[in-house]
Amino acid sequence: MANLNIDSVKARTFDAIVIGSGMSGGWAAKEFTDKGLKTLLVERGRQVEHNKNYPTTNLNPWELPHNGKVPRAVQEANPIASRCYVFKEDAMHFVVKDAEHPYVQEKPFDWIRGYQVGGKSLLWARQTQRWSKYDFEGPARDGFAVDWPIRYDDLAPWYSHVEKFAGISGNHDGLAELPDGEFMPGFPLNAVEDYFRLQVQKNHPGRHVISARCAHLSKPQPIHYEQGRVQCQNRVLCQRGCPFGGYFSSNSSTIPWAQKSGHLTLKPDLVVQTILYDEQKGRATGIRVVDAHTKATTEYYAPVIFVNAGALNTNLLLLNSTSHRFPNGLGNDNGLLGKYVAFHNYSARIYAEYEGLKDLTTDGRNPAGGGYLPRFRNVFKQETDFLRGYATNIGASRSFVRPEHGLGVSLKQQLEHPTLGPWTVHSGMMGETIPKETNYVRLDPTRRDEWGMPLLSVSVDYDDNDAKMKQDFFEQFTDMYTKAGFTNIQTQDSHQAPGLDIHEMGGVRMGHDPKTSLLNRWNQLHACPNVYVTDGACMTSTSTQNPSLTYMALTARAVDHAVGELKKQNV
Amino acid sequence: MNRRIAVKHLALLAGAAAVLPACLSQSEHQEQAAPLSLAALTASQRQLVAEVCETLLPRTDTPGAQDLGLPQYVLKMLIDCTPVQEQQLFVAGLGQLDAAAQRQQGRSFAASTPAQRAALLQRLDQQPADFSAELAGFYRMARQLTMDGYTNSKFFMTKEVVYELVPGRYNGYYPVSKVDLANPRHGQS
Repeated sequence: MANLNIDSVKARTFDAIVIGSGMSGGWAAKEFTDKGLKTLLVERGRQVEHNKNYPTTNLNPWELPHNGKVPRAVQEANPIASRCYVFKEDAMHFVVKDAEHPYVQEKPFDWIRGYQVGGKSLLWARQTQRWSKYDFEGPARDGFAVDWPIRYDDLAPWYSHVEKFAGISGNHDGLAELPDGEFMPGFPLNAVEDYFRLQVQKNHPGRHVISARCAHLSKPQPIHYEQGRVQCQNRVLCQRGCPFGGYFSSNSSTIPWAQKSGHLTLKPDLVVQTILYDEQKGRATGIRVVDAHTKATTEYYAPVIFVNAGALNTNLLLLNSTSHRFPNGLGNDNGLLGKYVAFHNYSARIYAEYEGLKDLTTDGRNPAGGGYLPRFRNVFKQETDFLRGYATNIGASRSFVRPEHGLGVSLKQQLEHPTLGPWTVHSGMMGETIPKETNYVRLDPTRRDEWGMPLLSVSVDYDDNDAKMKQDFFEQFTDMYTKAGFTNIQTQDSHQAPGLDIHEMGGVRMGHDPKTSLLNRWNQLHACPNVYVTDGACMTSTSTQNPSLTYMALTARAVDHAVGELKKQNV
Repeated sequence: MNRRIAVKHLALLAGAAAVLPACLSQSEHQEQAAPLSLAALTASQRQLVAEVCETLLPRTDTPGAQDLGLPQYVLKMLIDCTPVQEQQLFVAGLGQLDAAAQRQQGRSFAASTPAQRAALLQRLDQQPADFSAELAGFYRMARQLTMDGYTNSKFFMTKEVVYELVPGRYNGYYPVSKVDLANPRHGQS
């Protein structure tokens, strides 16, 4: 019996444990297994195997039962998920349903989650921009949050490392505020996006409209073929999972790569309840998990643990990992765990029409989505009455005119032989928000879910800085659109709750000082250094870039550090 | 014959009228009225929807609404995806269609010739204010759903405006002169 137990413990002991198989967890698993470590990757959701579990991927529009629309009963049962742009008939099976995983909204917060192997990496918008030195210097320069313990130069080689493997398309634009990376050719701007680029260049010096940089294989390299991925075929049905592996996801890239190494054990359907802490050894020793279906609990052990559960779930897990040493959550000596949560302000859009360039249209589809205008406010110095600024996505397209009236033979003819409408243009704000102690998550004191986890209680809101920034976005873009000769300009304030941006960050922030931050410059918990956090929870500030690429780079850098520490027997 | 059918439809209309206030009073007591189901629609109501669809998009040298199963599509989208209030509007307007046909051409919609049907729907299309809110709403929804069903049908997406599952290309400067408007492609809009 004793031997059996020892064998069982041995079978449940690994060199490294990674919690969560999404964007950053997939990278942790890949990096650890590349370095030969026997790695356990646990995922609370079901298995989604590349090209085996993409049920809608090759359906034509007429094969979707409801033309892509979500049935009313599903919408009514899922008001939160229904607000998410990917919650459509072809991909709603990859989004968490409201009732299955409740949480508490102290203030309105749309928490969009993807509980499956690959997490939200299956569903992301695939936009990938590096942070610049100005982004990392932001909190120190402008006096908010705490100083980032790293700078651009610390991360630059790791950006290169992950870009080469993931495959990023983009142009070498030479912008200080948006460093170039390891690029395959960018997807070109279309006629009107390009026209807008030139107009902005002429009328607004210092503002640069570029091709959106994205994780699509525009010109695959040997490393991508080795992953079994081929060139992006411009389907733009990415949210269904891509049979070509044309865009980066954990499912198409890092996880199968890690599996090929022979060092990975992937266990779906396991909810991690707590990280085990050994008071004598003064370090974390493993995790306790509950089977999502049988509810049986098991423990797994490893000398190093990476927490990549997704920003808010990482907060939840650490808050729930209590011990005599850490009564308020693992590593939470200063009481700041769960605080200084921030997000991106995506609540403002602007639309217009352009009557010119009517001799041109598009052919095929652009997976990058169009153009991108990096932050131009307060980049090199403070110049407005609000802190920080916003990046903007920019797209232009033409549509076939849908006849507003008419019926019978003439309606049929109009539908069958359509005419092209004018170009329409749209831009969406992606605003930095300032992390504050009053924007926090915490454990609900009484309610638990069916896996025994306390419900997460979320209290996150906009502030005056966000309102001023949004006003500026409307003013600046109205001006840029007007000077470009666009007409019928319409601003739209969606008044959406935080969370719908799906860029929630922070709560376990990095910093120099254990008194004011949770993680050090290597993403280790100050107070429990064999636990690393490298998902969105670690973010000290948000800047304006889509965050996934930065999570990937931080993760690869942290794994490299962890393996070094293991060799030196420091953790 | 026409009179017999007209009487039958009048009875149907009366039935709808009898049912409707009950639905409305129910909605006063409950938060929300029960959603529409296919079983709640009579065979005549479904047939009337089919005739409206066919009038909107008739068979020509290309398939018509019934050839493409659009009446079934319209009812499925109405039942599965439409807010309950709009469902009620649709059914109420459908119930008034025959009375409007009687007024305009002295016979029920079903008994009318295709040209008469088209003439009535044409007036609904051009002068909705001449009709009740229910009938105008019914027409607007029926037209929208029929068009959606048509442009989303396999026929339309393979033979008219061609949908490509795997385009494999993107050109942001494509000359309109090169677009074959007789058979354009989805990515050319």
